[in-house]
Amino acid sequence: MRRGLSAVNLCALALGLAFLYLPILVVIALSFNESRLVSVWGGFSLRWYGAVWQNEALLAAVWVSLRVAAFSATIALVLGTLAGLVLARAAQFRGRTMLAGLVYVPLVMPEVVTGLALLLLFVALEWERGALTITLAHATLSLGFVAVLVQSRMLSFDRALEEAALDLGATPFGAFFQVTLPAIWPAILSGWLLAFTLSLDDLVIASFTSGPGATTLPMRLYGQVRLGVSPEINVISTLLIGLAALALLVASLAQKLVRARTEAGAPMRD
Amino acid sequence: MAGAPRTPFSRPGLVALLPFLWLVLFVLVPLAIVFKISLAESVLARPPYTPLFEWSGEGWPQLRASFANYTLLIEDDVYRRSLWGSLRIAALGTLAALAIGLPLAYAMSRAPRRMQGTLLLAVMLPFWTAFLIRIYAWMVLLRNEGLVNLALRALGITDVPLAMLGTEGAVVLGIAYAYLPFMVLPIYASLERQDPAVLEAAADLGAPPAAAFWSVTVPLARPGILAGCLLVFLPALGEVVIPDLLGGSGTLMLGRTIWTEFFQNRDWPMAGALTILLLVVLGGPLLWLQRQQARLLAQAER
Amino acid sequence: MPPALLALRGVCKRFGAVPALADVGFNLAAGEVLAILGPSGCGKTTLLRILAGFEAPDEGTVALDGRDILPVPPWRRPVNMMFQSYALFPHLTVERNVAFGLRQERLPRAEIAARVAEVLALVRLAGLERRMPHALSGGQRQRVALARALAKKPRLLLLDEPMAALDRRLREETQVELLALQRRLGIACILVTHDQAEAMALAHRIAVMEKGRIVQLGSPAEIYRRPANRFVASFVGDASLVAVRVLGQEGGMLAVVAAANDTLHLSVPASTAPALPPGGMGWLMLRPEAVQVAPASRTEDAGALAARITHASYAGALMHYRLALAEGIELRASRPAASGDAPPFAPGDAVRVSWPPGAAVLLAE
Repeated sequence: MRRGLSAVNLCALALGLAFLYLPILVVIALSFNESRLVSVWGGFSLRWYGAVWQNEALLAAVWVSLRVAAFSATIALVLGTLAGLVLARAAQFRGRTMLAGLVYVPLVMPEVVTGLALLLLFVALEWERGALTITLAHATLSLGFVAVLVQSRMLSFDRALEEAALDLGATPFGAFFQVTLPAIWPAILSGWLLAFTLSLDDLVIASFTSGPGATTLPMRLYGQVRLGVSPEINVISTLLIGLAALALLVASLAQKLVRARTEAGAPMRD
Repeated sequence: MAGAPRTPFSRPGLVALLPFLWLVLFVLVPLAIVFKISLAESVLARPPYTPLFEWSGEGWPQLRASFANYTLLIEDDVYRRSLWGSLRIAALGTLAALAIGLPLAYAMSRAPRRMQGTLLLAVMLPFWTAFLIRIYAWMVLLRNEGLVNLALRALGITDVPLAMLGTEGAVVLGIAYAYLPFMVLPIYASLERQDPAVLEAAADLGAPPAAAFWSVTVPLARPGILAGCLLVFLPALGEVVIPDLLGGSGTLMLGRTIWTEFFQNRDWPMAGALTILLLVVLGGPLLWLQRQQARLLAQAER
Repeated sequence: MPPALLALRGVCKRFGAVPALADVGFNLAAGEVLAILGPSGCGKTTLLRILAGFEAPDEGTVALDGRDILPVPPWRRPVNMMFQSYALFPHLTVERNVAFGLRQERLPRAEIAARVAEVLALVRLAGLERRMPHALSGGQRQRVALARALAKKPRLLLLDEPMAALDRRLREETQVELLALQRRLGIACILVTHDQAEAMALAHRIAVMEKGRIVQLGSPAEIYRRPANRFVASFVGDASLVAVRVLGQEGGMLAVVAAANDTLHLSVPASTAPALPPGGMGWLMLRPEAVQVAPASRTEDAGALAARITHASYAGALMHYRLALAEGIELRASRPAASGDAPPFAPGDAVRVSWPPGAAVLLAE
């Protein structure tokens, strides 16, 4: 079959991508608008970028978000990697189904459910709500994503490589650190990046589990967005879009590395 | 005699214990608490609900479960409309996403091989962009002074701005937009796996392209289409932010109602009961999706 | 007789209810190459994994240089394996792959470098030290895997389907090279394969396995000429098998009659025949190249039998024939295609077939 693009396909592709990108591009363009009126083009300007830099409440929220995202992603990385390794390796043990189920539940539950449930837990435990409780909530959410990534990477990992290491005199732990970990670390890294992004992006769970004094960036943005469209939000949006694009670039590079290694590890078949 | 050597993590032991305990504490216990509180009554106190067990100091503690919240779910119009609204808007949003996603996924799978990776990345990129920003972008476009209305007026189609923001249509559009990657990816995956020879066979047997598309391509992509629909429908059911920002005050959805009950009415038990209702509604399709994925996985392994 | 390098006795292994190995035992001498030959699922890979230490047998002993190695974990055994998939570490260069085993021993840097250079030269890979495995051809990868195992100077080298991932042309070349290398180093090898040609080309002795048992252990020629049973006869090379009933001994020959046809009398040398009583059932085996085919007009061979060609196919150097000896009795014959003495036969031709007296072998089952 010819793999060329027919006119119909080209049209579908162009319309689909336009639908995905036009709204974002409009926001980016408007962020450089001199005019305060969002619908009137007043010339190119970086004026609002300067204004955002002055907004201390916003910068404080960014700082809270970054801290929460970094810590929760790191907790998720450790626990998710452990869970993923166990799920991929331990064939059968009591509670495997339960562990697999518990890992998946946060992935499929609506955020509003996760948020409410965790809030009620923190209330019941009488833990003071703030950045720490948001971090715990986000770690729980992201743990599953890391576990799934690590598990699927482990399933495609050729076990003969570990056996070859043992055969050549490496101890089991030596084999894990010298052979297995180098093979799966890109999956772990993209897991961390995904966890970091999810945490930065989350509004609903954070709103439930935060307390006074801990306002994340999405919470602060939400408060402003509800009041209507403003040039400042356009600027913040543009910055966040740029950041996301950068993160995705890094993640996709990491993934390419994994794929190159996987393919290299497979034998050449005739 | 020595047993076969084990690589680390082939015996779960302590390694599994850590994530296990974490998940029990932060997933299982909270859900149990939600259920417990949904059986309580709302009071003006901290925390604002009655205890499930009351212990008067003597004998067994007394169970004080109340199903009042659940009866209210059925009787009160607001909750019925929320449930119906959730189902209707999520379904419409799913259909809209399918209408945009299916042609897009098909075109991607027909594109030259070396372009496909880039196209996939292009579809994924908005998903990695802040959710709130993507919804905000539609506020910019759809409001009365927004670009869509400007364009309509410039083209002379209308003189007065169309009220688009704050309607159910805007919410449907927002859902289709926000979850489009979830629709495109599984459909693309199932189309991409298809042997191009089956289309050649269809053409050879006399089917023109359009007929081949409907009689060969779509049926073969069915698992991907179903998975995509569920991946959009399920999160859309519990959506909070989209109906709040793009919908009007009358756009009721379960997630938003839970949010309102909790934050504005401070009726925690009612929010709990609504959460249980949402979980029940989600349960069936979720189980189906999981079985479907297990089957797909088994097929992929063969 | 020198003491055995490796001695297996009564090795059994089952996975769940499925027996993978049943009472496997043999000796391996220093410098010897033993091929374990069998179809997939016969237990040959399990046997190899027991020797490497990845599986533990349920029963039996495995001794290397007279010492029990079963309690020794794989990373302390002086046994190294070349994996079927090669299992090259994808994140390490050729040099680091080969050095991996030596680094585990914490040898001095200079010694590791010298040993790596030595084995890479041995497998003709000098100059590719800095390559990553994915930048190598299939044949080069195979030689890296071999070099990596050889670098450890193992007492015993295990080869798991060493040629399976190579194409046919490369396979033959590599066999010649591997053979030369083994004879030069004098290293003892156990080779697992399902390819009888590979086993014959490389091994001093072949152990044929079926359903977890070694059904025959012997030199390639013994296995080919005197297969122990029908399975070995048909697995190693081509064979025609005719069900027969034993009549009795006449001189040095055992007279038999085809089970499907009472009038078809045949004979086999009694010296090589199993002890079957008169009336006992067995199988007469003939290799296709031993069967001579002559036109029906040539009647001078007294022992020749009348037959009819049912299929004829041209295979370059050889003509392959299928012959009906009588109703339901089929023989296969392979004759040089270009021999001047007789024109090729066509299906339907009436012919006379004969074979040297020693070529027919009687199998008990």
